[in-house]
Amino acid sequence: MLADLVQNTLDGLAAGSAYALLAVGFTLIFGVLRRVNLCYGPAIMLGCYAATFVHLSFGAGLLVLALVCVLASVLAGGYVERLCFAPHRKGSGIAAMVASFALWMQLEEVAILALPKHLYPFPALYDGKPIDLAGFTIRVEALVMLGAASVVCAALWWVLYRTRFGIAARAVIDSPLAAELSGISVPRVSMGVFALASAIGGLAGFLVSASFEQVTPMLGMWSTFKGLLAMMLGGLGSLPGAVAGALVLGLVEAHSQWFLGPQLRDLLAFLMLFMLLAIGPRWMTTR
Amino acid sequence: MDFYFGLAQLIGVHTLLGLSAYVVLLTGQVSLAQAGFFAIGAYVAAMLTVLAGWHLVPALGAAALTGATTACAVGFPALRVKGLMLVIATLAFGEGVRLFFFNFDYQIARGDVKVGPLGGEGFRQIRFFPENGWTTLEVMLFIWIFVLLVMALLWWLDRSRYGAVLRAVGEDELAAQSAGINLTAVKVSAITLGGAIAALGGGLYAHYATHIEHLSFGILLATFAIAYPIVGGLASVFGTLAAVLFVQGFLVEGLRDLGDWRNLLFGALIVLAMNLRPRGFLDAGNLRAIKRLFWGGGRGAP
Amino acid sequence: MPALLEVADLVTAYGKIEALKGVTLEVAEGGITCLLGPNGAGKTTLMYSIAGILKPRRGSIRLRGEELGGCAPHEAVSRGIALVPENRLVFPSMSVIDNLEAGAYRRQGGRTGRGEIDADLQRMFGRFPRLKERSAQLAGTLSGGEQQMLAVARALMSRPKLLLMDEPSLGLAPLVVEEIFRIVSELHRDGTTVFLVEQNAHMALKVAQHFYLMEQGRVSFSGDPGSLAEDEVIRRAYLGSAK
Repeated sequence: MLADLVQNTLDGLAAGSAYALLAVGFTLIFGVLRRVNLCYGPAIMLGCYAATFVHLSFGAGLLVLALVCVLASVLAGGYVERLCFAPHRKGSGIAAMVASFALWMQLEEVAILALPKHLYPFPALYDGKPIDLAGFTIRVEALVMLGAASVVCAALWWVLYRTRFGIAARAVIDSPLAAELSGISVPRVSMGVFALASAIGGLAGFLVSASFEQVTPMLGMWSTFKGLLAMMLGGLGSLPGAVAGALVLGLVEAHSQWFLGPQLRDLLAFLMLFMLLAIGPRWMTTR
Repeated sequence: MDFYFGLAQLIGVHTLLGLSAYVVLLTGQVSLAQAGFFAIGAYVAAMLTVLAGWHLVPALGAAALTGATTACAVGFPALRVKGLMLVIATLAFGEGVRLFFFNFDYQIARGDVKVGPLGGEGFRQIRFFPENGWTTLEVMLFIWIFVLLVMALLWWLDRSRYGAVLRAVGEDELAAQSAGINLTAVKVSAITLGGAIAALGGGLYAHYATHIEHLSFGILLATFAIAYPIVGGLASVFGTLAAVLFVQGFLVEGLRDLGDWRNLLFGALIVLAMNLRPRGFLDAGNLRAIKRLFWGGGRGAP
Repeated sequence: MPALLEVADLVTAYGKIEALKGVTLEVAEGGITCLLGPNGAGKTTLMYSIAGILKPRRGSIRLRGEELGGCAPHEAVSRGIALVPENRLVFPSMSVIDNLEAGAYRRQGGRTGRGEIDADLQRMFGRFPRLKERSAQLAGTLSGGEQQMLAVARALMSRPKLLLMDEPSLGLAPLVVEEIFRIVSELHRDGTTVFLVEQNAHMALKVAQHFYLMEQGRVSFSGDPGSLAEDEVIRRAYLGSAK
């Protein structure tokens, strides 16, 4: 029983760290656009499909695939930003949302056209055996995920708090008008943040695909939902909150899956989100 | 010919779905819960005809009532939040409903077969129409009676004081509130009405499709629901109808020959439509122009 | 004195409503010019048009003879215009020092550039000692007066040729207002050109060398502080001329 609890906790943290990357990307995009980009996941999915394509055609290794994943996600993300968000920067949020849904279908179609089977194998993050430590088995993939997420979060902190671009990005997130008056080009910095968020998402997609050892078109919706849930659980718009929300989501899922099974797990996650929004504390829903 | 009747059935049901989102959107609320109410209507109506042996008409009434009740119950807590938060709360609700039906088993033996919803397998053998010998044409006409009734109801509502109140809340909540309008009551009544219309549409859908499963009621359907009134514009119920015809008639069916490339073009056309006309096909301005075209006269000309 | 800024026949509109209906005015180099007028006269619209936030429909805005009209806000900053906006608008969840760094965003980096920026930071801290004490604090936690000083310091960090100030005294306590005007005078003494929008006509007329009255999107009077009785200025600045 105890062993199971520890095992579930570790699995939950590993899943949570992938969610954390997705949620951080989501939060950055929300910060600069004040819009939820529902096409975030599908862009990541397309990145993973590009990597799969490269893998199937040239048999490229993991590092190359990670790079392809990140680059293709950035490209797809840029396509979404140009078509859905740049034209509606000051206008209707609803129009931007509908447009992003339309692109969602488009990106899924591109993936299916390129690789028409429902499921493709993805090279595993780690082939070896799990480590045996004091009676607990620890999956190495989980450790890699945790490590990668920590490194990315630290790097992101450095970019945001130690570089000129970081100052501009935080200024745009804080007050676009004041940023413009300070000489910061808001559209350009927004695009930069969008690209950064897409790159983080692409890396998350790579880690998830490599640890599930497969890609399907469902990865798009999956990424959007998990990232969105984690971001909302952490209180919209806060980066540390997004990380905390992601870890909570991972832990709750891992434990509820153990007790209730995988189908009720997802139901529980959505119920939790709805309840939080509908009857939760006020601070979660302001902004 | 049956193909076109079938298409007309689909367009009718989607018009109901779009209108259910239209009512809610009039108050300025973007709801992604409509697919959830649609699913509830589909399952309730189908269970009543298949498992309880009801006639379809009372089953549809019960479905609409269930949809309205659920929407009202969801509306009260959900409408505490606005804008983006409401979008996400309703999205969570809709996905919750879908996952509920994904886990929902309730089968009884009828003769030597078991009927009823069976989780991920879905709910097969909803055979009210074939058992009663309805032709495709009759089914289509039956659906369109409901579509026309609902459109007439909303068209009339739009011209009543209630319609003015809905629009007032949608335009400016603060102003509406200071004019003595109870915001919660108006919003909850709109989402309740929307829930009833969506559930009615769902009940009809379940019976012409004869097989429903949770996957049909996902985020894609929720998006279609909200996209119709947005693409069509909020000036009139006819905007929603025009958008359904454009999307289901032209984009989905008309472009079927393009095969796999259809969805690519589909996405591009929607994005183009939103970039060119962010307020939809029919806004107040060109609605006036169309009226002038049909009725002559300079009604509303500046 | 030569004109640093020349605005000619400027029209800016929100949709169909023209907020500026052909504004013509000049700001002398090295001086303090003040713009007075009732609410809704179009003063903030004029400021936003000069700073590039709003696109004028017609007319020209020249800085030392160079046309500015229609350029993006960040270009306007590069050309030497800095606006301290109404209601201060600092970056509330960034530290004081990061707010100042954001103000210097358009300046060249590199070793010499970095050195100059650091020197300017020290100069700001010398001028606004309160900001130095709070340099690591989040700007949103500062008092209204401190936020106003931060907003001024942030604008100065871009080394502007022309400093636009939109109602710097709005909502501040009288003592703080005096301090703000003392700072405006100091900036003038150091050679900064200031174009000031104010409701507080009494204080503004004390520091300005020239003033304009604006009513309903047009300049209705222009002169030196002595050229119109102060109570008449105040009456027209608050109420507009009787019609």
